[in-house]
Amino acid sequence: MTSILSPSDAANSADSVGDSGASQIEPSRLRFGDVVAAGVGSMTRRGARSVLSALGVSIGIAALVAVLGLSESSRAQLGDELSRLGTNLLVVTPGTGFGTQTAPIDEDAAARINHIGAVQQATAVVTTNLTMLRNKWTSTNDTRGLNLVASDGSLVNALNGTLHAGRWPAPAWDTAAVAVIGAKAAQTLGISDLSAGPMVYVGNREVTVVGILDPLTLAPDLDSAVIISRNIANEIAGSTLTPTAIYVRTDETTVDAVRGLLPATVSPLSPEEVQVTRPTDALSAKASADNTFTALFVGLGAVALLVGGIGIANVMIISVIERRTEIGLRRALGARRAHIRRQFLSESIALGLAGGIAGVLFGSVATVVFAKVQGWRVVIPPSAAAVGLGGAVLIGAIAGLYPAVRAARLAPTDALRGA
Amino acid sequence: MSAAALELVDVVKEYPGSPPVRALDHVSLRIDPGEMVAIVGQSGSGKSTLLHIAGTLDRPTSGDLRISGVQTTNLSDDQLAAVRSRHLGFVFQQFFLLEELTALENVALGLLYQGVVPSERRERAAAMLDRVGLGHRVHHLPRALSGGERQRTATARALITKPSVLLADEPTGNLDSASSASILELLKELNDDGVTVVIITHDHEVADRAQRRIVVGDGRIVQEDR
Repeated sequence: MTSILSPSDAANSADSVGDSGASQIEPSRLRFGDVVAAGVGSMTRRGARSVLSALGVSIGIAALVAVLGLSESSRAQLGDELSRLGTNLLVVTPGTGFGTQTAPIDEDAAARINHIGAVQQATAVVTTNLTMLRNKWTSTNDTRGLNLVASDGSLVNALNGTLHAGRWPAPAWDTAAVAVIGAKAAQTLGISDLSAGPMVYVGNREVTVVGILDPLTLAPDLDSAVIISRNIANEIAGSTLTPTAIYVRTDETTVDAVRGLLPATVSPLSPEEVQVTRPTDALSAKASADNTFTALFVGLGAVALLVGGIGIANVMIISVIERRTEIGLRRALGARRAHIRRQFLSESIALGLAGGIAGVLFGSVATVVFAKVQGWRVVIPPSAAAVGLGGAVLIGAIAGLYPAVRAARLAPTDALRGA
Repeated sequence: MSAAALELVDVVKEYPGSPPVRALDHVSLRIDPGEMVAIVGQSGSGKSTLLHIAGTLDRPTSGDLRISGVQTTNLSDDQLAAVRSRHLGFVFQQFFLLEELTALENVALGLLYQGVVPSERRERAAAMLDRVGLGHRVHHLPRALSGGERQRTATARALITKPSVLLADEPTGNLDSASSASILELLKELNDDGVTVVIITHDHEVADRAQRRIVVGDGRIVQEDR
């Protein structure tokens, strides 16, 4: 006898004599490739049904990928924006302290700030009470909500601002009767063409508009301002106007230290009445505020996935019932229970994976389209795609578990009688 | 004495109920290699139960079953699957072909659970289809085949593993008389080539073609003639 006894068989044959020969039988086996082929083949042959049952998962995965992709894209966009604008800008304004009405920022504050080593530039700005009219015939009530702002010549650099049209006349700024206007102000005043030298009426003087700014992300209140030099503003007002804000650029590494020094530098006697803000903080806050929406949409996507998984489970249960005789036949051909289980699991995993692939594609396309429309840089995190595919496979496996176990439990005789 | 191809010793099969239904009542039966045996009986006689037990699709309540010398009583479910895969071939009245697979793929399915690589499965399936006279219908789907052709395909699927015993359950039950005759002819030819064939049938004409006829009634062997 040429039987190859494994240890357990040897132990068995010791107490049951009739067992001899059983160990001669080669166990039935199913190749992994055949399991995969059975699952994929069965899925593709049931075309429409497979598409519909995988749809739920693909919608869920698409939602997740799109949400993650879009939040990454918008964060990347914001990151780009922040690094372009620089996070080293601080704004000094009079605080909203108790009682005192006196402006704590005096005429020389900007000069003092410039003496701090880490400060690159300090630019004083005055939001004036002077009337600003479209022209001298306009009623004095018709200010159109625009501010007249007087500033140092370095303002546009301090804000990393760019000009939509015209120029910022840096060398002649302090002496020329010219104005640069914000993006919203240009709209309000109806000024878009600078070639004819449009003028606005400021106080008792006409000044020529020589530049239109792009929107200023770091100082949005200047978008609706007409900006002239502090010298000209002082001439018009007939007195020296004290700054209402100072924009301070510092070295990137010492922002916090400078921030601590500023109140005492500006107002040694009452530093508590000086407020220092960092405009980019608001943008960063916006980035983290987006996260709450991300969480919400991820939640919705998860619900879609759950429903999709239930859809796959349903279809698989129906499939098991329909294919009772096939299961019986396969058992008669020598399939083990585990082989039947694997076959149906393979099919539900294939459905999940197909849904996942479709979902990742849909989600990526949605991200690209939406990001392009918003003018964002497109970022699809590979982790989102990987998590999407992995999740889809997991859902397919979980959804298929019960139907597969049920199929494997069918007794061969019952399955064959079902014909 | 060499090992029997199939041997039942004092097999009892009872289905639970009150009172329990005894479908097989102390049946002993020995089928030697190379035999062609017909098991005949009315419906309800226990012949289907006998086929299920003999085919290891169901377990006896008591008694022993040996297939090619292998005692099956204490085998696990997985080991029984292995016995079916290596030693038994089934032909059913309803053919049980998978409708979405071609004749070739259906036949190749017989080797699936032996872990044979796909290319070899297809090669051997083509040869087996040729053997049962369907060399020209290899790539047809079952619905494009006649009843007789379908049963030939099913027979090829059963034979592709070179089983010790071919168990045929009413193989002509769904066929017209011409197709029945050709299937019986095929089984006879296979038997002449050395395949052990057991046909379960209620049709005495079919049974007359076998060397040995065993009549089952009320769960017992009531008559046996050669």
